[in-house]
Amino acid sequence: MNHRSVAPERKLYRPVMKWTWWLKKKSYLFFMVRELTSVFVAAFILLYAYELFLLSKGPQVYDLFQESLRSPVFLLFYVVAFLFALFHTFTWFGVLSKVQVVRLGKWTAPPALVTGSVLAGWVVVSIGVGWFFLTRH
Amino acid sequence: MNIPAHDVLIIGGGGAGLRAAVAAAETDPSLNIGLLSKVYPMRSHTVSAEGGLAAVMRDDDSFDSHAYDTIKGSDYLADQDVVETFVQEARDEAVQLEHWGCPWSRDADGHVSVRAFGGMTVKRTLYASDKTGFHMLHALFQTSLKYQQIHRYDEWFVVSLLVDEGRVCGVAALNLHEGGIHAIAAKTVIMCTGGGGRIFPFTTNAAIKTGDGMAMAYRAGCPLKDMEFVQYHPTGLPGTGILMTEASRGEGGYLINSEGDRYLSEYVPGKMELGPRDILSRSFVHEMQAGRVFEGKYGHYVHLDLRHLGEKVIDEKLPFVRELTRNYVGIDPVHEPIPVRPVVHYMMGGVDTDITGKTPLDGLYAAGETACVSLNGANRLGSNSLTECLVFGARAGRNAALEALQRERPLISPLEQMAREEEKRINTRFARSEADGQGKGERMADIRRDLHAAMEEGAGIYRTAEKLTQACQQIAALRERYDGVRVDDRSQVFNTELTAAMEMGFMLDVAETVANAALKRQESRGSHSRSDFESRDDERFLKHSLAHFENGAPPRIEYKPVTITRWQPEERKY
Amino acid sequence: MSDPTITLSVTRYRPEQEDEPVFQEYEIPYQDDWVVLDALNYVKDYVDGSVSYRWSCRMGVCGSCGVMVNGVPKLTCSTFLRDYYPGAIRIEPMANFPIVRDLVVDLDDFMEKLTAVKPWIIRDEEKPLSEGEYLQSPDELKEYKQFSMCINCTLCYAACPVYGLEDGFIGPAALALAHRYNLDSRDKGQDERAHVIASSEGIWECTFIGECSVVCPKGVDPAAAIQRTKVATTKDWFKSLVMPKGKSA
Repeated sequence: MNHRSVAPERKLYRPVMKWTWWLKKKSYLFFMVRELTSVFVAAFILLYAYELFLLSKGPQVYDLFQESLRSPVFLLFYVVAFLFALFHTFTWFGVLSKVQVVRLGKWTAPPALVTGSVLAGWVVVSIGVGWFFLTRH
Repeated sequence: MNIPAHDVLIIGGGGAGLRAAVAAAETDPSLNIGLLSKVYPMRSHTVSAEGGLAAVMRDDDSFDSHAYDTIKGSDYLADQDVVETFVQEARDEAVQLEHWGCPWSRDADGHVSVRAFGGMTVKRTLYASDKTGFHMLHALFQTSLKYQQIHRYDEWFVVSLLVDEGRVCGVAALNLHEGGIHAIAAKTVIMCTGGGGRIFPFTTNAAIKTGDGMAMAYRAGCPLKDMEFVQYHPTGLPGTGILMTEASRGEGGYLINSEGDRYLSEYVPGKMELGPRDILSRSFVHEMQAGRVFEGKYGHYVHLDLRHLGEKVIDEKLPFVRELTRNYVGIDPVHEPIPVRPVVHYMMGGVDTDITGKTPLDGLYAAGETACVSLNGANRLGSNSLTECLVFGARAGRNAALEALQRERPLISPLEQMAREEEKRINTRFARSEADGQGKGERMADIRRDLHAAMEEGAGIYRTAEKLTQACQQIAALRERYDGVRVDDRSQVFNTELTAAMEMGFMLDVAETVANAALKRQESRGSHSRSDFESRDDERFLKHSLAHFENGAPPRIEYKPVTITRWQPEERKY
Repeated sequence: MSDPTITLSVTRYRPEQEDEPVFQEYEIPYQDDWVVLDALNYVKDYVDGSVSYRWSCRMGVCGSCGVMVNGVPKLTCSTFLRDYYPGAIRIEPMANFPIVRDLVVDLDDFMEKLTAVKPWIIRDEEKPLSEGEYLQSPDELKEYKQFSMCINCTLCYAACPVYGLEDGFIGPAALALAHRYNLDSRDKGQDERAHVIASSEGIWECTFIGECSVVCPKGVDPAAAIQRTKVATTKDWFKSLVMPKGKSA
């Protein structure tokens, strides 16, 4: 229990935070862009879900869909979204060591090792998946 | 008018104050406890303590050993009954602090570690790396938050003790956030406001160490005991005075002069760098007089060499030292020696208390550096003062609580009247109207600078009758200049210039008792070294000095005997 | 030749005089080993005694002296003029707190939140003092040591946009301190604290901007403390579904 006031209300000045706060600092802007990436990741997931749904409708519907994906508008969207998704991946792996401490017995993995290994693993898996799909037919 | 009232009111929220508050709360949960501090408790100077806290914890140690080390370290001025009680209660306090979460450094088997420290014949200093005071203070403060009955007054500045019919019945305090001086009533008051190192120019002490509680008790009629004994810590950074913990020597660091020698072999060959602080500080002065020291921007210094300890030991046992030297001197102690010199660190003297924490003034208790029980006599051993805060903080808390249970609440109207008078006094004194002098008068910084010069020159490591007399005269002259001190700040809200002005008044009182008591003590004992009386004189001066307030005149110095139980004074050699 | 000088631009706010803070400039001598605190003390001692600011230890351990230096939360006692010289230095009170006077902000909200997370050892049974200390291995100490280094300077609150936008947010230092106790092998209070720290105003208010850890002068890394608490709390929740009596380590 704290005795701040024996007398009436003090005249404190309460600064109001502007809605443009995230433009004031590079690190804040970085944060906002990082958060924005989740929109594009969500977009990818929705697209993929839609694609799977269309697959169930048969080859004709699915092929029409594939055709529509070749439009320049969609390609632009895809490139932008892909860049954001990459940014998402790198920043997520970058902070992973802060979220989860990795231990083997008494040894604690240094943060760089955690991030490095996960990134390496992601590259390997990506190459594997890419190879699998690109060498079909 | 609604005056807050408490059973126990504690002034100061550091190690001693917080420990007293918890002890009072645990003595009887129905008690209403006030804890008032001019800063938030976690800012208290306890936070800067680094080295450790001494207690008998191990089988290879004994109460007698700790007691003897302390008594010898005190140059036989410590009250031996106090020391015996202290060493017995130290262990439980250290364990209690551990139970309360203090992150003591540990041995491999999980027991708390102990390290070597100055003047201790056995390793008995518990430590939390090299931030023991920080961890202790935060553990105590956070634990105190559990107790609903402790009501805190954060950033309230006590202006004076209120005494009614010879009994302390509360305080008059300034609420920093709103201005205005208010009375706070209490059945018992415990003064835990720390020491007054800031009367000297080079000190490890924080800004807040201005001897407030000592001066207030003194003005209220409570004598100040053994004020002449001011400890210089041998290793502070030149200029800033930032503390380089004794633990750096405890872990094996060397003190080297400008000729590359471990010069302490000349002065204290038995203990070398782990000799007691007063002897090490004097050794520096000798080396300086012999021209075997370095000279830099902030005066003379020697080297504290930690290089041979290696990076691993430094990072594990002395990480804060490394951080401080890198930040403030631009030196990495792993690769280079640290410049150090003696700086004022602790006041052995203080408000006269007995073993229960009670002062001669009815209703007033004191504990920690503010008090002089006397545990430390003429010189304190490192790592005894953190323990002192706990042992005597707890004792004062318990005893003040027990007394409060027997007492009636103080009468309100005398308190209201006294608070109004105090407010009038402060306003007249410091906040003059536009007409008569804002912009005129002397700046506080100039008075402070001259006080510093007077104390360093006259009441430093080596003193003479001539220099001390001059210091006393200079302080008297400073008082007159202080009467006309200028305060620019007219605001009621967070007026730190006003509080600084009041602190200046406290500092002048404390400085006056130091200089006058030192002048009267015609011997050399512990940290009080007289070039004109070089030896210890047990026949004339095996006694405590008591400085009594004589409003407008220098303090009246009287003496009282030292309590000797089992250890007869011997020659003090290491 | 004149001696080098530096210009300070300091926020002034005297509630009796002003409705809003204003800046006041002071040109003072420059010394290369001075910190911002030395500069402020020079102003107060020799130029304008009415500037109010908090300070005490001057060595970066008491946590009193937090301000904004050129828009960045800093301790005045640990911020060197030479890193800004010859440019001017703008000194403002810490962001996201109400201003009491000049550079002094109101910390009542922080103190309440610090208390709310129950930052003390919570146990069902206490060992008597006569039985000695609780045993704790050096590794167990290392688990929480970093999070015990907080000096309560609140620079992290000044850096956190969430605290600026949502003043109900418990905030980095308080949550890091709760994590310190949760990790302490002597403590059994994780559940008791969960009500407060796993509330919507606790860890889940945090969006992991990470600025708190960037400005922390003691390397406490409150951002890490909060994210790990999120993981621990989530694990506990899953465990409570599958094994009602199981607890997270």
